Amino acid sequence: MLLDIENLHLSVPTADGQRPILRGVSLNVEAGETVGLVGESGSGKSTTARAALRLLPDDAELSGRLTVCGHEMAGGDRAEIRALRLGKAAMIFQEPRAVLNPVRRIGDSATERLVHVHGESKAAAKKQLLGLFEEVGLRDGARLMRMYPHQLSGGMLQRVVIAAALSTNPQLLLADEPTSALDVTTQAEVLVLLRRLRRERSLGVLFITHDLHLAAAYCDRVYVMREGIVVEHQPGATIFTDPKHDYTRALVAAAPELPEREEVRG
Amino acid sequence: MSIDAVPPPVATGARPKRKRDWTFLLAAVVLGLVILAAVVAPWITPYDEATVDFGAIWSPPSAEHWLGTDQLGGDLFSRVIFGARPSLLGAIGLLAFAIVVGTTIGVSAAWHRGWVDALLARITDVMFAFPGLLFVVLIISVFGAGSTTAILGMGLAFSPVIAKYTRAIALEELSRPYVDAYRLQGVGGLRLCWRYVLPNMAPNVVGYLVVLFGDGLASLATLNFLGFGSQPPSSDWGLMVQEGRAAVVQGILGPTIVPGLAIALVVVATNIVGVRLSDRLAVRK
Amino acid sequence: MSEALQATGLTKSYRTGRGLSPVVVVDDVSFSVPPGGSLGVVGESGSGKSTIARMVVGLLKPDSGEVSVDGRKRPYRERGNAARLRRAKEIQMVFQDPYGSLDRRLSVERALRDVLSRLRPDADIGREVGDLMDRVGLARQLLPSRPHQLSGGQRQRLAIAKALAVAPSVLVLDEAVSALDVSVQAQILALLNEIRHDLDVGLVFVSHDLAVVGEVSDEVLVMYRGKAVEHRPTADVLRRPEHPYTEMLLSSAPGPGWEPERVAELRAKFTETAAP
Repeated sequence: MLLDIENLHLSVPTADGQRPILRGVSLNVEAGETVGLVGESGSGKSTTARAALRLLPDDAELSGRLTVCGHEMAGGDRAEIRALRLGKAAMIFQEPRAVLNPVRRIGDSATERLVHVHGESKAAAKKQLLGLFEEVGLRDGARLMRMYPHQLSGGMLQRVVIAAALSTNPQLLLADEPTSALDVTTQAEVLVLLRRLRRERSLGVLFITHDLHLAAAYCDRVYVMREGIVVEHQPGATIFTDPKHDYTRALVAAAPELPEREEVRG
Repeated sequence: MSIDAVPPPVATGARPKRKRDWTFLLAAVVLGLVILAAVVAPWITPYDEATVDFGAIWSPPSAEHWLGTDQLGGDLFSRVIFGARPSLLGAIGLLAFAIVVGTTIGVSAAWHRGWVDALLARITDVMFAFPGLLFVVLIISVFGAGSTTAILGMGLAFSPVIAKYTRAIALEELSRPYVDAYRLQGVGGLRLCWRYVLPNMAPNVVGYLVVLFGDGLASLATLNFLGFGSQPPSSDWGLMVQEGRAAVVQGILGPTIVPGLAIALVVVATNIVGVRLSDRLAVRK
Repeated sequence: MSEALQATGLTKSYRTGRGLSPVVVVDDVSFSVPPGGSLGVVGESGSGKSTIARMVVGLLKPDSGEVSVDGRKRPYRERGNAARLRRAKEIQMVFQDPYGSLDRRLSVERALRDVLSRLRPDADIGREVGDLMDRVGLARQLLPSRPHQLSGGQRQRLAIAKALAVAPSVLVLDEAVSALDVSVQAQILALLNEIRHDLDVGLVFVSHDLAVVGEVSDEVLVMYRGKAVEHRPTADVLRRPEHPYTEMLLSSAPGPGWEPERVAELRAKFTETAAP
């Protein structure tokens, strides 16, 4: 199991006392599958993913079992956490422009991890990145590397971010609303890419989204979260047609649906 | 660490624990005392403002004169307290004038954009190019020395920096959709800016203005020190420093240090209070 | 009976730089909305849909084209307070950012009183405030609350209340539900349907989301790079799209039996056949 979370509790200190954010979350992700984590704002879905990489405020209190690629993270020491962040697990976020330095060229930003953290030479890192660019469907990689973020569209930037995330050959990919900021047509294409990468590299993907429709259609299994706890867990194929929990039913009812198409164009 | 940089943590809606900010409280108290001193000076000082005692010129601190005396035998302790009034009032006048001129320029530039913005930017740049002090001395050479001229002149010298700052804040504020909502309700430009936008800008600007107040006080004191502003027998602190100059040669530092420290104290206090206020009040997107 | 809103030949382009030809953001778009009718404007980023919204409302001057409300032409800018007030009562807008579109210093009550006192001074303001709150489904307890104390859905309801306060003939909504949670989104869409049926207000609903548009519009205008590629009744567009771009949009929406791979195929087909 790449990601194994059991009974995870997280709270932060506030002016009014300890405030619980996660109240006993349990979920897991195996290699080769895409697992969806669905919730509205405030459900704790993003926090769960960040907890997996210990990207939390220092004064947050964490308890429960949290194992990532075999490493115990909840009580883990600093060295283990660093090792994990560096290699086996990678995370991509909703807004690529928020993680890329606007005054640095794409090539420099994307090879940063390899060069500064893994000690590779710039030339070797760039060569590796060119290969990854091709893998994620970016053409003319050499030219792209010399460009700045503002010159690329959102979809292309997200592919760059994905390529950079793959540069350390991770086993687990945490994707926090990776397509929510993209146009719908671009979104579909990036999702196809992620699916292909997952298949070719046997990754485990935790796919976080607010869109239950999307999770049901795209993910093998789906967890639904509400106010810090998982309320439903079903295969993607059935969660939309046969929701068990009231909250999931409410989400299904609220989601606008397109009508059936009348004819299939030849 | 750009690509590994993580967007700010998801807002949990939690209010963080707040520790008591002793520095801020201390600075605020100091400022409060200075203001109080300015108001009640005549009632709390042991001596009148303009006492003259030729027998006690530049005497060191003693039981009768806690901080010593000045060049005319006047009590330094009393004079420095009396001096709070012209010093603070001068700085307030300077700041008020600078705010009126600077904010008008800054907000107009932000509202109209285009060539108006460009023109005002060039004018502001020219004003910036002149070192503030030189600029005011120039004005004084035309209009003559005096505290009013000094205050208005220095106020004018401070207005470019306020213009630039308010322009930036106004640009950000005007980009918010509620401004468009008011426009759709038929609210005209002037009224929109004055009644709706400026009040929303205020929290972002207040802290900065408090810091400028300290700057203004120090700059005005410099002007008075040079003899271009307040004239004797005013107890303005800058003037007092100048009057104590001759004593320094003779090894008596009190007459210069006492008013000098008063100036420094107010500048430090306003800096602390201003910055902390900024942090607390400022609204970010 | 005249249309609530009539837009003809709206065009807008921007200069890009020396030596480069200007970018046409909206290219000769026309449409109309009857009283109580609803037009959905759908497109991705760069389609020009938001530009159309701003031109219709009067926040942006079109290079050419005309807008009329209730049969009366609306020039971009009119001088004089009286003219401005009259314009404000013709057409109003609800924006995408629920928090940013509210004056954060004003409580719910003050915000509503502010609009009413300026634009409907003869009305019984106290009662109007109450009526508006009821109309948009805001509890009276929220009257003293300020924007930062309200949820996203409540903020948008307040924005709608402010817009309705002037009794406009047309309401333009620019991605007004895009920033809301799905369950809240559904409530706001239901509210909008109620409003147009009860008040006969014409709606222009701009969105990138076809499914959302489908819930609230009679007709759909599909925009691609400034051009209107399809303009037909909603049911027809969604069941039998005529333009390849609409097909592509529909294939991008996840649902049972979804094949996202098709989108890339469609895009290739589309960019081959698309006009330059």
